[in-house]
Amino acid sequence: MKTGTSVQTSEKQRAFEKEALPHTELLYNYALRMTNNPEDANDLLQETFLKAYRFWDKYEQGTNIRAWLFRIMKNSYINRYRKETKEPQSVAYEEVEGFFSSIRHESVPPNDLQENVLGNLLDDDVASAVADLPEDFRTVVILCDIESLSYEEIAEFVDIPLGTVRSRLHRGRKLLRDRLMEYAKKRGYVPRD
Amino acid sequence: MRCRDFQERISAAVDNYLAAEDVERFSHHADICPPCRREFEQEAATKRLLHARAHMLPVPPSLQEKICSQIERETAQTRHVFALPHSRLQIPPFVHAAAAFAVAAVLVALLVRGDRGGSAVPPTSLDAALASEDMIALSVHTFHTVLSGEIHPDVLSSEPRDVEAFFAGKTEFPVHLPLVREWTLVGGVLNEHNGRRLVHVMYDNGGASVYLSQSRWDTLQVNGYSLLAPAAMAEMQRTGWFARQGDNGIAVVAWRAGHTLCVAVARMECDRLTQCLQEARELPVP
Repeated sequence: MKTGTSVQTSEKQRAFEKEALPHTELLYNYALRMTNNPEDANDLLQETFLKAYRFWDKYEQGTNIRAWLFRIMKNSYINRYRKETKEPQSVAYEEVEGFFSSIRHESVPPNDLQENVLGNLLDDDVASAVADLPEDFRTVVILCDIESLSYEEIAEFVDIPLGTVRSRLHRGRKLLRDRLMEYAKKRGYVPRD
Repeated sequence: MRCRDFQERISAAVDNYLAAEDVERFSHHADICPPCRREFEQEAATKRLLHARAHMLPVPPSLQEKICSQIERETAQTRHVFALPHSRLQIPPFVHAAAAFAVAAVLVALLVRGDRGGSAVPPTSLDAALASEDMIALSVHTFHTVLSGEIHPDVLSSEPRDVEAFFAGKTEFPVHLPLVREWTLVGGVLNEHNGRRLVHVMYDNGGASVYLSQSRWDTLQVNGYSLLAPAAMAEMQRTGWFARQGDNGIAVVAWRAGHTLCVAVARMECDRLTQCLQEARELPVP
């Protein structure tokens, strides 16, 4: 120990580079979709890796490193952005309201027409619609539909039961679709009702 | 399957997570209930759309580089905290000769002044405290010695229990290891100075050092003369702690914790240092 300060540090650095850095892409894309702003995503990613490196000895070897890194990023995100927006934590309500929402019988365009309409949207519209989702729904939708994680991994990342992953995905995609239709209306792809 | 059960399973069906026993009942309900089928199709289409239009983007190489160099820098800074030339390993005292001499000179000066019965001018700033040379000044000096990498830690560990175990039974006062979220313990040193045992604990605060010296509170008086500047002593006796910001960006917080005198030194805002110590419940929370 008395001779090995620099050796220890470089071992730490090596271990970190080997285990944590391969997950940069997963975290970067999450940051990008959460903030919908490349600069903020850059800051968030850098902050996450710096914190992870400083607290590397707190990481329990053998546990899910992706989940550990994800939680650091989520906390950093909350510290940075939720303070400003004060987004209400309304999941409990939103999940109850609407989960068993009545099936709409109003006159909406049939599915195939809707698909055509949504196909006209720009990637930017899709990105903004995702970024507009309430935080908890946004998180599961990003992890599942963009990052292709399994339900089990999402449950571990967010620390919620599998059933909640399922219900948040259902509700999140529904909200997303409504938003996408609104964008399409604004852009004139759908006749206003 | 009822509509409600179907709705509950839509996302699982879209993602191929439907339980085996539900598959048939689910597709049967979709066949007989057009609104439910429509909803299922919409959700599947939304997922497809998202998957097609919001792809994973590669991390820009410049950002990748930034992260790597950030870690590189962090490693270099941590090394710097205890960059120890091996030639020093055999030298027991942590304070180098010049510092030891300075402290001895101070003690003489204090005793001389004590004999004359005069009292020092109350220090109004850290620099004045430094000029009056007392425990706080000694701590500030040692902090600089830590920064210059001249201190050899007896125990090097980020685990409080290792550091605690090292000091156990070696001091006649309890050693404090404040737990502050942003600080990582680096290690500690024990030595003796003019018959007083001194404990030195170092933390890493994001590449910057936080230094904490500890000694026994009730040996602060030498021949009736205090080893704390009178202003600091007065404030400690009144409130239990004392905090000052130096002109050079260095903050000092001294407090009495039972039988222990603790002095924390760091290059940060004094308010922040105070806050950290309040968080760790070392200082009274207002």
